[in-house]
Amino acid sequence: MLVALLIVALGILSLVVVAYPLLTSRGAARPIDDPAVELAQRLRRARDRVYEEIRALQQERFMRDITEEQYQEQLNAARLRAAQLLQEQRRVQETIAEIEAAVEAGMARAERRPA
Amino acid sequence: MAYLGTGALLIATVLAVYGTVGGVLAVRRRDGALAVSAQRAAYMTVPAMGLAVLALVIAFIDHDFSIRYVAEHSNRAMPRIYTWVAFYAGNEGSLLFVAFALAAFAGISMAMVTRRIGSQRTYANAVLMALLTFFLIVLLTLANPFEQLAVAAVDGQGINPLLKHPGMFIHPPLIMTGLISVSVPFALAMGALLSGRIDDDWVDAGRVWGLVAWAMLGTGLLLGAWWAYTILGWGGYWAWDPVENAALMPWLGLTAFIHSIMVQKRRGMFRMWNIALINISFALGNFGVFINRGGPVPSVHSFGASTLGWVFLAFLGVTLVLSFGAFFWRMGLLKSARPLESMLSREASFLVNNLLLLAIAFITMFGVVFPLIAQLFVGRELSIARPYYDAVNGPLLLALLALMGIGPLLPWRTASWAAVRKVVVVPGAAAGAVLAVLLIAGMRGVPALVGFGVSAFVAASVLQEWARGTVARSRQARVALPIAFTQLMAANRPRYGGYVVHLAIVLLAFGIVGSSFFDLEKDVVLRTGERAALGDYEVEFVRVDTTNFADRTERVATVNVYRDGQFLTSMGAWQGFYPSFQMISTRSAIRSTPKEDLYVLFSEVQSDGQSAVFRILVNPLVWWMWLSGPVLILGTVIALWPARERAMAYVPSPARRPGDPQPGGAA
Repeated sequence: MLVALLIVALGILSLVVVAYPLLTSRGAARPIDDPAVELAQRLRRARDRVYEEIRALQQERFMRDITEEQYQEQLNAARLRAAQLLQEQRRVQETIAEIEAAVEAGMARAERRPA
Repeated sequence: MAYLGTGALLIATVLAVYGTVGGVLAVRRRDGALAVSAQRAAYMTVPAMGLAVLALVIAFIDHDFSIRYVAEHSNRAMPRIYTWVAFYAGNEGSLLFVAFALAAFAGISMAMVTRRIGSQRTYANAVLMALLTFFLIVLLTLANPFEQLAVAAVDGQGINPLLKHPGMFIHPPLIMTGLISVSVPFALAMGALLSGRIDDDWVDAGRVWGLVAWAMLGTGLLLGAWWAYTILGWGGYWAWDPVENAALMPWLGLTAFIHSIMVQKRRGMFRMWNIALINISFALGNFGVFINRGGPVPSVHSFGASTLGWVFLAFLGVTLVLSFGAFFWRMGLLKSARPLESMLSREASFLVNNLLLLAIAFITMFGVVFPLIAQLFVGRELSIARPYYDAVNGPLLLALLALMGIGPLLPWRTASWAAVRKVVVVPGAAAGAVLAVLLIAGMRGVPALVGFGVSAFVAASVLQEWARGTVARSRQARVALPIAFTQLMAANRPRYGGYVVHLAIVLLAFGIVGSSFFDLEKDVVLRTGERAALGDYEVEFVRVDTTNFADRTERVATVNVYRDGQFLTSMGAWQGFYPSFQMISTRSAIRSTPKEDLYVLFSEVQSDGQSAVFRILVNPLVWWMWLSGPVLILGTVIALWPARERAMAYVPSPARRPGDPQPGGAA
């Protein structure tokens, strides 16, 4: 009896946990891959990687693993990449903001329009 | 308990199938709700599998001999503490353990990867659930641990005597979880391939889980060596046995992967290599499960016949074809961000490291499959023994060890020969000094000299890196050396944790070289009070005590040990006869010191009742091998310890010179 109860309880619990996202409006509205968010996050990760590379370069310079000339050359290349990424990131953010503003304005116009 | 266990397995199977199908459909339909639902199905497999595990544990504790598996692997005389070992003493219990571990890894890894529901993570989850589905179907159809007997047995057969060893509480679970945990980085890589998002997103999580699997397999291998050393009674710890090799091969693949992934993380290179390496490691892990649980080749570690070989072979074939199919499908997207600039660079040393590791793995694999090939084509049972492995793998392992000393000294991108010469001066001098001391001490064997010399080189290179880093940081931040050392370790945990692991490998190599080239061995028959000499020791046979237990007859041979005529210690070499298994189990008497182990194995009492047969060995430096285990774990923990988030890096102006103080002491 206890065994049957345990199995039924596990079955019901599993069903509730699995079905919940399908039955709520919050779950249904969730996008699987939001291109704008994906792009912004990818740019942020790429920028973080450049910063990490710069930190490692500094470490190598302190350890005298690389010459001053190599350090400057690699540091400049990394800085250039970081600047490009920041620029791209800013452009993406501005575009997203423009799109959101346009959507909101459109929705506001639709609300003002008489039925 | 049988109904509870089977019911839990059925629920887990439904959840795993839903997790697989739901995940794939969610990505194809771009349905976020379905993706979350599939994810939750994966989470729910953990309590379901936990309940099945609990049911079997309770069945063992309650001596429920109506369950076949419990009756075959325990009895009433078995101490309760061995319930956990009996759990995985046979195929069915092992597979249940593996499936539970896979469910747990899937749940934990997917919860940790990212909060974002992306197609990459959804596919990775589906891959893990597909793998779990396979194990659950095998459990329910071919190897059900909850299968009931028509008539419950009064008592069980008992646990295999060879498994009654402290190492058995951790060694098999670590090997099994290690083999199955390769599934996580594999699933992450597959998620990246299937979703077509072949950027470096999966790299961080892939590195962490690759390292987890690597550490578990490595520790499991060491514990297995310790078990073999103390219980199998041949005086060695590694026999290149098929089951040992089965765990070693994926470990080698993972070693290549966790190094190579650092290049992708740091330089955006080796993308193709890393996917191929994790595919190979996963295939080798499956091959390990096939050898372990399929039982196709005889092994000292095989504890029962199995008919599951073909199932695991088919699984290995299917996963190999699918994983490399996905690899070739997305090959065009796997281009490296940068080319290899110079063969004299850290990236290049990682590449050579990969090639050497894979060469050793495939040479070992040939040795494992050779008996199967011979059986198939020649019709005779032939096997490859230790001399093959020692002759072929020995030099490659030595080259790998040497590379471990040189690689970390090289800078990224490119290095000049002058810079290389500069950094190898200290380690080279250390190796030279060690060689000189050994030659003066009378050592002449070239392989041993090379082994010790290379070990010294690697140890010195690690210590040099620590010293240089600590001094530089101390000057830069104006702090005391101990604080500077702590800051150095904390600043780049993957790098300095890796160095600790390298030191562990040096300790291992030190022990292997010492015990392989300088061991002494003698088989003797001693009468009571008689002594035998070996090395600096004299072993005197004192007596044999016999005690009868419900499941065994124990005999303990007491010996006194002398060195230079002085009494050193008294030791007991143990032997147990288990009538129900018709098996003799031994525990050698071992006196272990950092210099050497004195190892005494009691074989039998002669027919005169007064004399006994012993094998006596002196194994130098074995102690250091066991020490390498905790050091390896420590290094892995340091490498895995999460770094604090840093928002920005401080970038000094080009005008700043080396050694100038920097704000905040950032480096």
